[in-house]
Amino acid sequence: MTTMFNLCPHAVPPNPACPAPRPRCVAGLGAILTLLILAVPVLPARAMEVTDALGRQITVATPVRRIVALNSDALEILRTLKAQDRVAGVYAEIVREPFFWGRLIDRPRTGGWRRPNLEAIADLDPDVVLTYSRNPGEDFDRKMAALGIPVLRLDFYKLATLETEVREIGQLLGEEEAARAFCDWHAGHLALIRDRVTALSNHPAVYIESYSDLATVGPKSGAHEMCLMAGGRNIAAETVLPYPKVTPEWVVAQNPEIIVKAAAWGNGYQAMDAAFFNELRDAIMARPVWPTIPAVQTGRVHVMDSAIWTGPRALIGVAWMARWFYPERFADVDPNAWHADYLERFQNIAYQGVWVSDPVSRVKP
Amino acid sequence: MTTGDAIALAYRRRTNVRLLFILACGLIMVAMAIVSLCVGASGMSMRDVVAALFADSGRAHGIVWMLRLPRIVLAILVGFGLGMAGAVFQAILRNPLASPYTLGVGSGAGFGAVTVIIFVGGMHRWAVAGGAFACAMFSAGVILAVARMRQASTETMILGGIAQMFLFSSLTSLSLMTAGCICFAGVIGFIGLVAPHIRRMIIGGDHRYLLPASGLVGAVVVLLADTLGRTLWSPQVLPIGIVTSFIGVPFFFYLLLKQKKAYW
Repeated sequence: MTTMFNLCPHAVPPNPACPAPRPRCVAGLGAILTLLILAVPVLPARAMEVTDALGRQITVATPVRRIVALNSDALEILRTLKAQDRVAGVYAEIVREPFFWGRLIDRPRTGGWRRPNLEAIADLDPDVVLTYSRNPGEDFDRKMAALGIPVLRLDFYKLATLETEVREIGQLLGEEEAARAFCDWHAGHLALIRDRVTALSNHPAVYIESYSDLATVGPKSGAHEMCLMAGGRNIAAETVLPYPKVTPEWVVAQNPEIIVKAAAWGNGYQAMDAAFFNELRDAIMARPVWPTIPAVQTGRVHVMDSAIWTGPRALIGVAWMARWFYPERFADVDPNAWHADYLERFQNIAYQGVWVSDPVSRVKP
Repeated sequence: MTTGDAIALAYRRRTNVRLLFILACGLIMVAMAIVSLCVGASGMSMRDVVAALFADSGRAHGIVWMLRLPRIVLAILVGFGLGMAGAVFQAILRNPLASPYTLGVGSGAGFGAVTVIIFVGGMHRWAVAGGAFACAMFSAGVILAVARMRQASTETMILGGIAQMFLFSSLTSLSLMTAGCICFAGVIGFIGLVAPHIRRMIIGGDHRYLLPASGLVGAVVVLLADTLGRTLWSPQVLPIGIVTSFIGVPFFFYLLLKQKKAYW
């Protein structure tokens, strides 16, 4: 990311609490402004170039005061960067998690995360729209560009690029400090897991199932990355598609030692107990012929909430996986404690909720 | 030999051809079921499969009896049902475009299933099937009521059916949107429309033969599509609707172009 124009050395952070430039800057500011008006009258006063997840250079006028977040991952990162006051619009599905998002659900809604309402977005006159690299389609950028609204596509759900993306958006918003705090915390915890996993051999075979039955994850998916990071060997690592559908027979034939399933509607933050996750786990263990799979025989079948699956909190999911893959080596790691630390420090909300299924107490012969 | 005898002889010959065709379809279906039983991701040999068929327990037994056989039986039933339903619709409405899908009955069933899954909650199989059946009956009733009240032509019925199909598809999308649920409802729309035509081109319009033959070829196509779908690109599964179209549409075009005169 490069700053194209920087009017005074301590550029005013786009903070609503301090909107006006400081007096001692004014003289220099006036002089430079005059020069600028004479030299390049058509360029915006200030702008930044940001590299998005597709490798494109997106120019965004600064300071950024009004942001539309088209998905929960982007919104969570904005809260991490203490930029929640600048959120001008949110995706429609936010209503499902009122406890987690608090007053943010009162912000104007701009339609579903896949199919946003362009008119609603235009109406909010945002400085930038944040969305995933693949959703909505490319057409969205063209239509927004016609309205003069830049679309910044950042994923925030892949472990490999999360920190880079957070740093970029942090710089764009002038919240470098908050971005650095999060990245340091994230990198530190990830390094702890990585260091231990590298020293281990005999990576267990893992079958990962995403929200719908028999939908597994292949290379290029966020969950495959999480499994590798936690030291697992994804049995679907050779598939071509990132999200292939497989037959139950194939899973049986692969003899996975551990099964990890993501639950779409667990709503972990509001959950009082693990009943929802346990039901899913029991249903998997009861599938025809699956009791012959080693993972089912040893009771190593686990369900986790989508909130700690791929997304800004994928690290928490990785911590759980590492515990499930190597119970002895990671006995001292408490993912709930990491999670509590994250929610209290970076999301500024109290820790609560249930995020994974209970261990199987009764192993059937 | 009188003209009457010649006609009777020709009729007997024609009947024999039809019976032979039905017999051949039945044999192909059985052969394909056996092949389908022997292929799968676990790489069991034919000998293993036979042993598993007669075993009492164990993994191989489970794979053959609980994973492969139910799938084969389901494919046969679905294909047979769709083929027969298409033939019956086309006969009753005297219209070559009629099928459970063009009349909106399939979309009605889909809507019923989705509604039960979302609003009644749970995925109990009988409840879902019941909801689908009720809505399918309702949409079939609407088509017949429209036909009776307005003395409608068959074209009106088909147009009404297509309108109904769009309505139910929209309602389904709407329900899915409000619930935000991702549904992988497989629609094999093509079989009901095309299976009766394939049979009619080959064995003519006598429904004593057309109905069972439509069912049998529907079963063969769906079974073949499902077997290919789960083995061609293993471990990835290809949706059956896509495979049926890839197998059936080229064959249908071939028959359509080969046909010298109008067959309907």
